[in-house]
Amino acid sequence: MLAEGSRIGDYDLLRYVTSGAMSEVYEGRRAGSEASVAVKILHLDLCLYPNVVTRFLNEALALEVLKHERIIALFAWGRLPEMPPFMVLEWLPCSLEQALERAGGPLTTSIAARVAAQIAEAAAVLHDRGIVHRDLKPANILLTEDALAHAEIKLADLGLIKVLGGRTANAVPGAAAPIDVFPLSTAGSDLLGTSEYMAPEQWIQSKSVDGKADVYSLGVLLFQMITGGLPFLAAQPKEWMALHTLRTPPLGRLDDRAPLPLRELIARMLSKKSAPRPTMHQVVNELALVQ
Amino acid sequence: MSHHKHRAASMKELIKSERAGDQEALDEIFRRSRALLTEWAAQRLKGVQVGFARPSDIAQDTATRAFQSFATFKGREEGELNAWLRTILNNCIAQAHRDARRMKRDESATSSLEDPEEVPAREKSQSQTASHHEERRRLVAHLSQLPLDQGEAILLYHLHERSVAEVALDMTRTEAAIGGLLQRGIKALRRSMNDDPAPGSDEAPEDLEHLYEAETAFLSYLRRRDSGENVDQEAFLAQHPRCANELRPMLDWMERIQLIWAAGSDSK
Repeated sequence: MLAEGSRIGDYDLLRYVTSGAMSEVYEGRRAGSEASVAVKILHLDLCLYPNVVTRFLNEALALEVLKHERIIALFAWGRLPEMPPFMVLEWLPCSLEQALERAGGPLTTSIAARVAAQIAEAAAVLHDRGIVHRDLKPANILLTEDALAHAEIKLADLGLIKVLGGRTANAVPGAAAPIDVFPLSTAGSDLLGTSEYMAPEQWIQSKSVDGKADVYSLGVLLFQMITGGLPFLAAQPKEWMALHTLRTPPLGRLDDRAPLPLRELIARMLSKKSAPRPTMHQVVNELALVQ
Repeated sequence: MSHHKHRAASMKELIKSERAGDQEALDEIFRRSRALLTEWAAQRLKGVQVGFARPSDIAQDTATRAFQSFATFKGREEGELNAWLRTILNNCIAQAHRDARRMKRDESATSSLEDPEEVPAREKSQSQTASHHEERRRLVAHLSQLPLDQGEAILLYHLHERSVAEVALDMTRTEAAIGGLLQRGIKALRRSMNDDPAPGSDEAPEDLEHLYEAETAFLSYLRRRDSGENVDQEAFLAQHPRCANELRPMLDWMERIQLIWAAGSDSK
C-alpha cells in the first residue's frame, strides 16, 4: 500500500480506498485541483504475471477509446519507473452493489428497468466496438449518487474484456471498428468471470463468448433487482456451473412483480443457448418500453 | 446482524417475506430449520451409524439441499415447511446409506495406504485437479447439448442426488416421466461423449412392449436405489434378461456421471 501524499504522475494520493483482486484504489487529486479522482494501481506482486499486466493495460486502452457518458472516464494512465501500472479514473465512490445492499430487497420495476437500461446502453457501446465485458455484476457498476432513482450509471472494471477479432459483439450495422489491444497469451485457464452472473457458454468456453454472454449476466442482474435475490444459489463453482448451464431459472418469482413484457424479456435474456437471447441493443429498446 | 430484524417473526411471516424477495427471511428460515433438522436427524439415527456421516452432517446436507431448492416449496405454513424438510431429510438419510454402502463396496478396490508405492499416487497433483475439472466441464458441456428437460433431470437426480420423487415434484412431471427423461438423457449423453456401444449390443428396442419393459425396469431400479437399497446390478439385470443389454450401459453410466462430478477438488 502506498503512503498518503505519494505522487503518481501529476496526481497526489489522498487516502487508500479499497483493494480488489487485481488492484488497489486510492482517492487522489491533481495538483491545484479540488476535484477527486480514483487512482487504480495494479498490485505490485501481480506485475510478475504478463497476462495480468496486459489485461490491466488493455483496460486502459479500451477506456481511452470508449469515451461515453455511461462508461467510467479515464483521465490518465501509464507506468512509472519501478512502479506498477496505474489508471486515473473518474471519482465515483458508490457502486450498484452497495446500493442493492442498502435497498435490502427488490427494487420497483421502473427503477430496476431504468438501471438495467443504462447498463445495457453502456454494454452496447462496448459491443459496437467488438468488446465483450465478461464481468457484468453490481460491483462493476458505479453510480453518480446514492439514490438509485436519480443516479446515473457508469460501467467500470473492464479488466476481463475480450476483444473480438474482425467482428463486433452483436453490433448494429455501421458500428465503429474494433479497438486495438495488446495480445494475451491463450494458454492457461479460460474460466473468467463471476460465478453468480456467468453465462452458460462462459462456463464451458470463456474464450469464445460473444456479447450474448453479457446479455445473460445483465438478465441475472435484472432478475436480482426485481426479486431481491439471485436466480440460483450455490456453494461451489461446479454447482454454479451446473445451475447456470442446466437448471431452468425460477421465472415464477417474477410473477406479480414485473409486467409480462419485462418477464418475457428476462426469460429470453436468461436462455441457456445464446442464440435466442436478444442483442444488447434490443435490450435497450425493450427496456425503454417498460420504464 | 442481518437476521435480527426477523428474530421475532413467525415462520409463516418469514415464508411470506421470502416470497416477497427478502433474502434475509430465507436466511432466518434456515437458521431455525438447521436446529430442528439436527434434532430430527439425531432421533432418526439414534444407535445407527451411517458410514462416517454424523446426524449433524446429514442435517447440514438437508439444509443445503433445501436452501438450494427453496423456490420449489409451495407451502405457506410452518407445518407444510416441516413436512417438506422431513421429506428431504429422509432422502438425505437414504443417500447417506447409499454412500456408506458404496464406500464399503469400493474398499475392496482400494490399496492399502501402507503401501509406499501407492502414497504418491494418492497425493492429488495440480494436473490431476485440472484434469478432474476439465472432465467435469466436459460432462456439463455435453449435458447442455441435450434437450433442456433431460439435462435438468440428470442435474437434479445425479448431480444434486435427489430422488426420482423429488425430481418429479420439482419439474412437475410424473415419476415415470422422470424415469424416461433420465433414460433418454443418459443414452444421448453416452453417445455424445463418444462412448458409442458396439453395433448390435445396444440396439433400440424392437417393439413397444420391449420399450415399456426397459423403462419400467429402469424406474424400478431408480426407486430401489432411492429407498437406500444397495441393488446388486448383476442380479437386477438377470431379472430383466430381455432388456439387460439396454440397461447395463445405463447403470454403468449412472456411476460414471457421479464419479466425474465428485472427482477432485472444486476450485476455479
